[in-house]
Amino acid sequence: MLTLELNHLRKEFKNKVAVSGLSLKMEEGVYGLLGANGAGKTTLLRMLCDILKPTSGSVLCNGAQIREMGGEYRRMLGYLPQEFGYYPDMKAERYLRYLAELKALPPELIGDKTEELLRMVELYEVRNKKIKTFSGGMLRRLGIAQAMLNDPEILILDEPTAGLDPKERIRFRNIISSFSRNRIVLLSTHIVSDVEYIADRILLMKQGELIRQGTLGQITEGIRGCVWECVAQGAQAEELNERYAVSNLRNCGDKVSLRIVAEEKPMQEALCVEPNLEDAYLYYFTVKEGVGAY
Amino acid sequence: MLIDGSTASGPKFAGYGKGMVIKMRLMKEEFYKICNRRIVKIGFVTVLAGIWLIFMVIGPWEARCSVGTGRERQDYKRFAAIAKDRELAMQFEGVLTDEVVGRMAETCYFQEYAPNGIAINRNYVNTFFTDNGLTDGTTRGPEPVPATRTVLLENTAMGSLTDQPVYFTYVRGWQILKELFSAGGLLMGIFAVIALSPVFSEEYSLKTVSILLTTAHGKKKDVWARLAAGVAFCLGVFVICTGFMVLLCGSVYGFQGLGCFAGMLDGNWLLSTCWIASISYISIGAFFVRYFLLALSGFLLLTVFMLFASAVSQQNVTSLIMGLVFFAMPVLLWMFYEMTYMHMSQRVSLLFRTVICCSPIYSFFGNAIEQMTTKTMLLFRGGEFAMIMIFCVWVMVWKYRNYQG
Repeated sequence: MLTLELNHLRKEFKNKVAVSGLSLKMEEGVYGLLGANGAGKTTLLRMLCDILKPTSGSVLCNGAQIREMGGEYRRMLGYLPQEFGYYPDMKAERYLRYLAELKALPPELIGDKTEELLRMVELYEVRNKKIKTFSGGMLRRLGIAQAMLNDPEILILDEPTAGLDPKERIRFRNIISSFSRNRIVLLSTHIVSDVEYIADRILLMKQGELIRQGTLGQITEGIRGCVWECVAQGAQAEELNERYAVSNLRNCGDKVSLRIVAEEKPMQEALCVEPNLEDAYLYYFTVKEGVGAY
Repeated sequence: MLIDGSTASGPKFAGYGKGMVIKMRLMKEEFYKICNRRIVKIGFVTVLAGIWLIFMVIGPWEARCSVGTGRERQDYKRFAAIAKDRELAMQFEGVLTDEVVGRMAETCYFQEYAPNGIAINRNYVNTFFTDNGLTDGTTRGPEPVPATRTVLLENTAMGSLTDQPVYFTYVRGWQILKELFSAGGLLMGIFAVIALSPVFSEEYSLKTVSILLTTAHGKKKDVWARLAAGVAFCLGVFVICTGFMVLLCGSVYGFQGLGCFAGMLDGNWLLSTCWIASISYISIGAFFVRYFLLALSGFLLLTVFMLFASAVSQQNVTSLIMGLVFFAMPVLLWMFYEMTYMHMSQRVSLLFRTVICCSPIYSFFGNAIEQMTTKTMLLFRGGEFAMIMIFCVWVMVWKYRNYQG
């Protein structure tokens, strides 16, 4: 079974610790990495891709150091960076063919593989258009296609659904779900629902550390009894909104319905409800930090 | 199917291709990327157009031929002048002897000068025997001294360079080629700087480097493929542009005379060229082979430096500026060296002079092959050339592979 193991992985930039001695063992499945901006997600992913050299610690793939595996490791890897780079004047098909060469695909497979992926991400019709004419969503889909070119066993996606419309996001989630069998897919995103739908395990990262990891059930179980729903009058609702982390707020006539994440019961009439991943995210990234308002 | 996960097992495609085949395929891709830029396409056409324009200005546009003397003198201009010069010269084609020089003077007359010092009955033949010191007159010094008689060949600079018979024919085209190559080489150099500045830096600025460095060949073979593609590109530009220059000169002036003694190009100039002067006899063809190889080595050095500059720069414009400074460095050094005491240490100065300045592309600025000595050429050029090349390649590879964002 394919394994990716992080041992006390640490990365420092001058005086800032981006990733702080992180240890984790990943086996086949989809991993959702959640964290606020600056939590160190991208740095972690770049170290996993062997782009960034860790300050200390190691990354092992099937027990071998990825630095020592070199090209052998990169053959197993697909990566979509947060800032997807492309050549503006290159045509989409040409771009994929170029990367296919770099990814060591056999020449006889390159044509079929690029066509297959272009169809999969619905860019086949525009394959001969220059990439600079593509919309943000099309660029993202092209990025996903390039990451899957070599049929990678380890797929690392940094904000893959940014810029995709709801239909594209659903399609993307389905692609990842079907692709993930017998592979490691690590997905970093801000969109909690993406992770909720497809991730087998969720990793919560904060200030360079992994603060929680587990299945959706395990993560939400940790905040059971901390999610409340209540209905309040306008002024009271405003006060609650100021004081607590509110994961949802909806107007119902002259009253306001609130979903609050708090360790204490926010008001007498509040009902304790089942937590979801958004609540957990809010809890770990705002309530635990002592920030009331979200 | 790709997405059903059925093909996932172990490192894939591990057995595909070996060494050179993969590198060649990658090189082809990188070569395509260099050539496919709009600025490269436009730039290349501009360089060829520039070469043609320079050729027309220094060649046919300037060509003048006068036959006869006094009232009988006939003047020709441009292409007609070239044809007449060629016709005159071909009358004396053959081994140059004192008797032939005498007949030349009888047929084409000694040059006569206007009060401003300009020859008024100038043609290829009388220019040849005047400029090569085959008469008692001279065009050097503050005022030209009209000739009254020819002198013995063995007493001339040309005669002293070779003990073999000198074959005379019309070689004006090769004289033009030498001038043209100096200016054309400059255009080629500037074009190479512009074309190669983005090879690595573009990957940083476009942020494609993150993807490239996670591919199987991205960190190793592709770096060498880029180097090879850059060198192949420059070789291609050099061969095409040089070929174009040779063709231009040959088609207008004729291809004859390549086997003639190189002193025919300019005996006095050749005498000061220590590198060639140490060789008793060299043909025009052999001279140009050496001349072009020397230029090519300078061009290759510029190519490798540009790739190095590109690898250490985050932006294309930075590598472009670095390249232009490097390209202009010999000229700047020469200017400061000649004009002020602000010259660099003898050793550093020597390095630049041996490695770069002697490339004929800089002869446009007067600091060129002519100033090099045989010893300098042989002792220092090869070693320092190799040292700079190795340093540039090593830094280039290290910097790109270890890109950290």
